[in-house]
Amino acid sequence: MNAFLMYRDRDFDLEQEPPPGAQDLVQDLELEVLFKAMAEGDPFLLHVARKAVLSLLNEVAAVLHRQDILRDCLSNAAIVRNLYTLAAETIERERKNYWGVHSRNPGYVLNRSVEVLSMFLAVLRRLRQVAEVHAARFRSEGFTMLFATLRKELDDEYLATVEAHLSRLKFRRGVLISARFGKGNMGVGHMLRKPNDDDRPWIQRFFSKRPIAYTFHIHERDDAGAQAVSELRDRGIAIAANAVAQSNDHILSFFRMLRTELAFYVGCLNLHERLAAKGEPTCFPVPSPCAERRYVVCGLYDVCLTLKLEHRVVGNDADGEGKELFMITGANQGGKSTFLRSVGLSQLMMQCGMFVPARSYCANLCAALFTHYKREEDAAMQSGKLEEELERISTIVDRLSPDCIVLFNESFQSTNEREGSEIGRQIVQALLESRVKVFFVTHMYALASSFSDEKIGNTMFLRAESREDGTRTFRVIPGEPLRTSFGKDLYEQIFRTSATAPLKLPKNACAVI
Amino acid sequence: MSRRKSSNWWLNYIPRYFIFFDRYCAKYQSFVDPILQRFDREVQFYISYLRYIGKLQSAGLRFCYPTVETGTKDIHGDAVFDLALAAKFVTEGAAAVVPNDFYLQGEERVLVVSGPNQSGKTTFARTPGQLHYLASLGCPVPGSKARLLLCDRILTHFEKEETIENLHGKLQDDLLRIHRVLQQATRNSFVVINEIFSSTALEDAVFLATEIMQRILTLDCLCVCVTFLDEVAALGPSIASMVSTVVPENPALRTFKLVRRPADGRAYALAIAEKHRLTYGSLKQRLAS
Repeated sequence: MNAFLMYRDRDFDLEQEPPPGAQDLVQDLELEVLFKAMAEGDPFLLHVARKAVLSLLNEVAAVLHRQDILRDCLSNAAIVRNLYTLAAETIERERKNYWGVHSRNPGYVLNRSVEVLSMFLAVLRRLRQVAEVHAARFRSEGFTMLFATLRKELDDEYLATVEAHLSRLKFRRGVLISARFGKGNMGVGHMLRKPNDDDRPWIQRFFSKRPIAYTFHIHERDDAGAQAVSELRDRGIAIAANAVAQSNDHILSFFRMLRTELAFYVGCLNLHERLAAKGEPTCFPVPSPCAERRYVVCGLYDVCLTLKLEHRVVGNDADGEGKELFMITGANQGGKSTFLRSVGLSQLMMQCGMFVPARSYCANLCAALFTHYKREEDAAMQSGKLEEELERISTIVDRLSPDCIVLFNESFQSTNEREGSEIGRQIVQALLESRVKVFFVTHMYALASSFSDEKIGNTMFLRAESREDGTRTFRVIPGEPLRTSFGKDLYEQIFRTSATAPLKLPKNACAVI
Repeated sequence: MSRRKSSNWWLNYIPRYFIFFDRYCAKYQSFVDPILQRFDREVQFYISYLRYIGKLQSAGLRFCYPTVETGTKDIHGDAVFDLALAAKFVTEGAAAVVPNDFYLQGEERVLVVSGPNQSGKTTFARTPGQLHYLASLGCPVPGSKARLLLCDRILTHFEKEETIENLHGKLQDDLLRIHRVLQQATRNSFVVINEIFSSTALEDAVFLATEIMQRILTLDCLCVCVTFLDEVAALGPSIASMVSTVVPENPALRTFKLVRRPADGRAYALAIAEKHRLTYGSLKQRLAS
């Protein structure tokens, strides 16, 4: 029995290694904020959120599968949370039942297993109840399949059989064991036998004579004898004990899987509630295949930023249909980095089947997402910094495949603009020609403009908006990179007019540079 | 009575001028010959300078008396080095001092120094300034041979460390300072300009550097200019371009040696990129596989 809530055809692997470069992603996109919002203090939810968000789905169908399930979750939040709690509690109770003694004693194993199995049985019954009562409210393939499986595999007949087995395994009426003679007339091949049910009416049974049988009594003080008998019993029930323990493990693994897969959706619910409480819009993204190039977003905002702030944050629109390169330029602290982070975050969220922080969102999936951000350390060692940046991009290149996305944030600015632009231009051009989608935030006019001049790739230019008076709106709007003429104005003022005259600066001087 | 008289009898025979000498001596006890005094004071300068360079000389560094010119602007310096760095080398055991050569001849007036970061450009830019300063004091200069201009002023413009937030203020400050420098400079001045406009947008930097270089060329003064802008190095025949070099096999390794050749600033960064196989050509190969 599988839950299949994360993938259509396989279980979600909680032990999987994070993809290469995940550490950079977490750091650059501030994913911890997102994870914490999803977990809301539950360490297990945090663990699952980490794994799920970082393992990207590359197929549209897989994304839609999760989206459907998440839609169901959003409209039936209470039920889903109940299911999650049920699974979590069951696992917890199983764990408590285990006394930590690694007893090899079959009698002990059997006793414990029977106890746990009875508990499981009760939970399975409740699960089926949920399935029966609420199934109609769930439309997604994942939940329909799960509920159908529950109803089919946990039907009355099955539950009754399990119960009968359980009551028999408690051995209230003793154990029936067969054996045959081995060498030296030793008993071998001990086998637990199902007792022949006496189907006579009880009155008959009561009065009829017991069949003749050979019995022996052990004296109360005869410890050795008692032990010998219990060993005989153990030999007989060993197989049964193992079987029950195994079926317990099966059921337990089902609950574990159910809990893990539901945990992701509960995380999504937590996040959704946080965002809804702030009045931030969310929507389900429209994914298109990796090979296509789409990026049409409306009201896209940085989910991590809004989680950290009291007030709502500014959303951005972009129509980058068919575009391969997004060059984002403009004023300092004008919202460029925030925009880039929102791009990365929403791409990740889309590709793990979540909703995205936007009013509408349509983008192509990517094979993998990489970030190349300016790092703060080594600020003093300028030459070393360029090397370090280049080393990092080199490791990214090793991992690149077509249809990946790379986010550059102020890369190659550790050297002067001329050198940095040239390195950046060559790298971006090569990436574009290898069908890699690139988002590049930069101050360097030379770099940004080289793509508008040469018409390399299919470029969309975005610019952090700043008004006439220099105030920033924190919005990113379509716009070619600005060539600053500010230095020239200043030069004219200082050199052409007399030096004694007071200096008048252009009004928007600060905004331009 | 007579005996007492007789015990001091010799007093009567002391000539009166001894008393005069006594008084004279007391009066001029602290007399120093003004010439000697001046010598004593002034020779301190030479002694302390010689003592200072003596330490460097015993460490194997060479000093020489420069030929000082007034008419011609053909200057040169062989195996010159930065005094500050050399002192650091001797006292603290810092990295070895790499001597460099430079010359300006004919109509050349400006040395434009370009090259990678931390490859000795700024150190080199300081050196001709120091040479001219020391030469005008009449001191031996760091180097094996030198012919220098006797200049009326040595003016410097070095970049001041500032952050990106007040970039605007910095550019304005830069321009004001360079303006002041150019106002003071005459055709016999020596100007040192180090890495101005490096944080300005490239287009602006090229424009400003070109304008300022034109003004310096019009002034006809001597100048050393450290820059990353190739355009400045190629402004005209009055400009001599020097480039700090790196080890060809490993561009990250500096030689601190400067050679006269056309500026190729981009070649350096691309060399590092090539080392990491990140140039366009290499990347295409890597991504194709």
